[in-house]
This record gives sequence, structure tokens and C-alpha cells, in this order.
Amino acid sequence: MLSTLATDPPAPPRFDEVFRAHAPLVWRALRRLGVREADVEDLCQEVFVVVHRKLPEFEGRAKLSTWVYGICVRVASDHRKRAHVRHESQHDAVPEGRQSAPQLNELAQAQARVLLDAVLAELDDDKRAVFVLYEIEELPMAEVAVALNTPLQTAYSRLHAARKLVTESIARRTAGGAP
Amino acid sequence: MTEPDEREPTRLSSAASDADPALRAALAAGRAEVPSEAQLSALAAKLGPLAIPAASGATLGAWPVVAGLVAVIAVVAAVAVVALNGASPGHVGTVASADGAAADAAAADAAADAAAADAAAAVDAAAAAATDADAAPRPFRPHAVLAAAPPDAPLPLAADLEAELALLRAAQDALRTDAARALSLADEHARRFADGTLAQEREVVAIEALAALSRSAEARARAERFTARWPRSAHARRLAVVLGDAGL
Repeated sequence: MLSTLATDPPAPPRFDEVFRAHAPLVWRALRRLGVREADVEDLCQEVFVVVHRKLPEFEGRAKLSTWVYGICVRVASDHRKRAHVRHESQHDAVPEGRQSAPQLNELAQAQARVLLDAVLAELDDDKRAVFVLYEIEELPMAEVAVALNTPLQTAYSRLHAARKLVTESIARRTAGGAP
Repeated sequence: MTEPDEREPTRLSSAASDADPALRAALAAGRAEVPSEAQLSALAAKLGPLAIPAASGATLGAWPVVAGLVAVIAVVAAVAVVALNGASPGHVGTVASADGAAADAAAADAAADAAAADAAAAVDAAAAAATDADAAPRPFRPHAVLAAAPPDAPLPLAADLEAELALLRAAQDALRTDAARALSLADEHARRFADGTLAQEREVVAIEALAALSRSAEARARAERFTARWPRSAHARRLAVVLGDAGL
């Protein structure tokens, strides 16, 4: 850590800039990491409290977004471990009601998300995090490994395992109309 | 920063992938779910109180005005410096005027500008204080501003926030299962952090708990005090829903 001082590291990014640039990503990542819609605002708040606290320590060794994603994964994981979350449905109900054309599209999107979240809920936290960061947030695998503080090879193993499970789950759900 | 690894498989959402179309559609829908402007504004409002004790961050609500968020944090940092170095009514007045301007229902934009201007002045004051304390002024470093403390000492501001947040979170969690406990935790928060940075959120929990306990008169009275104290709070709509659901 001392050696990094030799090159006069740049000042840490400003909190408001980090917030503006990352709030939508944090929101989306938390949702796919298993945070219900009703809780996502609270959890975003929690993520940014951590960001605010730790920003002065950010050393620029990872990309800022990678660092923020790492915080998201930890906050979401802690949240999921809380007992009340575990016993509740991991996904939100599909909206119902009158449907005009734009609402139909929204409904299709909502249904697709419910399917996605149901499939993701079958993964354990480790596999889910790798899958979400690579397949949805579209980070390169090297950054996924940094965000999750795991060896690259481990991240690959988890990705492959997660893809297999997700593919099987989708096939099961779409073929037989099973629950 | 990192070259794509050639071992990286084609993403399942890609048209080049042989993934099930249903999965591709699901991934696309998942990726498309970003928060609305209103949701982002509510989030910004929620973070606002982290930094500004008395004012309602919600009144600075418009999303582009989020820049004000860091400004109000800087105000708090400046006030903290003042507090460490001996009170100065001038700086306390800075916060009060930002609060007052923000509370003006007629001029949200003007309020944001005023708050930002006040904050800018406070940042200058903070920078001066930081220089006095032989710390490099940085664009946003309350930690550096609080340079009177040794570098590795816990930060009073952050530690208080964490304690507040932990207590509030416990109260919010209890609300799902045990309203009486939620109320008791909210009241503990009120004792320990009467004008805390999360005072609004605590009051919301308390009011929800009272409603859940069918203590209607108390819930209504507390909600009235809430709206009197924070007339333009982003939580007002939620309170209306809570009281509406409880038939109050």
C-alpha cells in the first residue's frame, strides 16, 4: 500500500459523481442478486452508505464500477442471510389488471423478469453473483473475479456451473409448464 | 483496464449464443430493469438525510440536483470542523438557511441553488479548516476535513451514522414481524438521535408501527407532526398510504 504512494495517486472520486454514475447499476444489480422490489431502495441506501464511508480508501487498483459491484454483492448477500428474507418469496408478483398495448409489453417484461428471478433464486450466492455480474451486468470475467475477491479460475468454475443450472432450469420451466 | 479473456464464453443474452430464447428474453428483461427518475430521486432524498441533520433532503428532490447531495455532506463536514474547533454561529446559520430555503415550497430549484451556494461557502470554510489542520483540501473528503483526528482513528461522523443506520435498520426489520418492537426501537432512536440524520425514516417506522398496532390516534398525531416538521418530505406519500391502509 505504501508503494502506491510513490506515484502520487489521484484524489478519490467525488461521492456525488459515484452516486450519479452508479445508482442505476447498483439498483439493477441488487434486484438480480435477489433483493425484492420493496427492499431495493433501502439496500441501495445501504450500498451508498458503505461507498461513502469507504470512498477515501478507494485506491484505484480496480475499476470504480468493479469496486461498487463488490459492495453490492456483499450487501445483497448479507440481506439474503437475514432470516425474514429467506422465508419470503424471492420475487415479486406478476402485475395483473387491464392491459393496453404498452402495458402488455411491460407485462411481458415483468413476466420475463419473474422467470429470471425464479431461476436465479435456485443458485447459491456464489454462483448467482458470478452469473449476474457476467451475464447481466456484462463485466469481463477478470473484473468479476476482482469484484468477488476470488481467483479467476474459481470465477470461471462458478460461471460454468451456474450456466448449466440456469439452462436446465429454463428448459424445465418452459417445456413442461411445471411450477 | 482488463483485456477480455479469450476463454470468456459468448454471453447468453447475445444473439450469437445458442441459449433458449426464453432465457435470452429473461436476461434482456433483467438488464432493462433500471430505476425510474422518480425512484432515483427518492433514493437521493433518502441519502440526503445522511448528510444534513435538520433539512429534508427530499426537498432537493429533482434527480439532476443530486449534486446538492455532496454539497450538503460538505456542509455537515464543515459544521463538524466548526464543532471540533469551537462553535461558530455563522456556520450553524449556513445550515439553517439551507434548510429554510429548501423548505420553501414555491422554489425548489432556487432552494437547491441556494443550498448549493451555501454549501460552496461551507466547502471553502472546510477547505480552510483542513488547510489549518495541515491536510490537503480535496473536492470531497470529510475524512480529510476532520483532520484533527489521527488518520486511522474512527470517524465520529461515520460512526454515528453507522450506529443510527443499524438501529433504524433493526426497527425497519422488526416492522415486518413485531410492530411493538419496531416502535420501541424507533423510540430508542428518537432518544439517542433525536435530530439524527435518519430522523425522518425513524418517524415513518414509528408511524407504521403505531398503525399496525391499531393505535390510530397516536399514529395520526405523529404523522401530523411529521408533515409539520418536514412539509415536503419524500416520505409523505408513503405515510398517506400507510394511514390510508389503516383506515385513518
